[in-house]
Amino acid sequence: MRWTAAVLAIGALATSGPAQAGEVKVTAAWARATVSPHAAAVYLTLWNTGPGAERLIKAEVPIAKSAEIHTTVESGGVMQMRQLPELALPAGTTLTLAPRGTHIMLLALERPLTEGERFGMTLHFAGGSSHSFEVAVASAGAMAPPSR
Amino acid sequence: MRKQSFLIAAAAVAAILFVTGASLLWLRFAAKPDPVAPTAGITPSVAVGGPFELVAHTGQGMTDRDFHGRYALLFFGFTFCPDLCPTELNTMALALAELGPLAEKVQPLFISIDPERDTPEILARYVRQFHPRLIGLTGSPAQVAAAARAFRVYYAKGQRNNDAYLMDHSGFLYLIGPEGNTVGLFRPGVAPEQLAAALRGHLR
Repeated sequence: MRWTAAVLAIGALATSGPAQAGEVKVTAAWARATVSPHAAAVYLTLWNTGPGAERLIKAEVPIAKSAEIHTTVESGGVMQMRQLPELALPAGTTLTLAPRGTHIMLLALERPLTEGERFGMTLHFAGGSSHSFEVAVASAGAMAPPSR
Repeated sequence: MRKQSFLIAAAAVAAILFVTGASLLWLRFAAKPDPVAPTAGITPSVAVGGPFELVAHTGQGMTDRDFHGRYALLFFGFTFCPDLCPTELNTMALALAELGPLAEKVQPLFISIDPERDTPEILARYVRQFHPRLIGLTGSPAQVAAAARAFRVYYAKGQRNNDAYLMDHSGFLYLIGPEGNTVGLFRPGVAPEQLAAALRGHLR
């Protein structure tokens, strides 16, 4: 029984590289440290390696009450955040979510995010596939994922 | 009678001048930076900025006069802002780092436009994540509104989610001169190198 658990654990480690479900891969998922538990942004890269279009329709994070797709719009120096219903991923495309653009907005977290920690996240796609991966927390002003 | 119509005419002229000035300012702010002169920033054509009375992250009261005699680099934002505020504050910190010892002449400032939630205690934990000398300022809603008005900052509660709310706000960086007047304005998204080059031009 114990060795079964060990094998499962090793299996989980082996797949902890790029998360893969259907034909979409997720890499470099990261967030910034925060001082309040109210909001945080997750950035990541989505790779649609398959022959068909995919659509990201839902994100889930166990440590946050909700996760929404948001984008930042700027007009005449005024910055606003707007929710998007989904993210389209045409076949063979890569989409990087980065600061000042589109991100997965986490709301009402259990705790503020601390630099160096990791938390789980699951993305759901329109075709019914979903996959889970870990998000690494970088410093509060980081512009790129933390180096391992 | 004559005097009255003169007064009406004068008031009309004053109103037209005001509207023209405001429009010019708006155009100036809204204009894309000149790609030929990426380091220039925008020089405000009318007075931007003015007196303010706020509370620092240390709990101490502070006014604009506390910063006179030196340069200040100012950003308006809020600590719950997950995407843009950390990005702009990081730009500020990187630009100051690039200036080396010259950065000592610049006081970085962050004014919260969300005084309901941004207490001095929250600000204290927030500002130290970005720059050791960054001063966070908040205050009563009236004090913050007055400061935002002086700098012509627009802010409003934006989209609401699960009782949480985000703020829509102007994202300019202000360079304030030693006399308290704004000498440079930078659009949101300015690159740290551009900001550093523009600061260097003013500090020399």
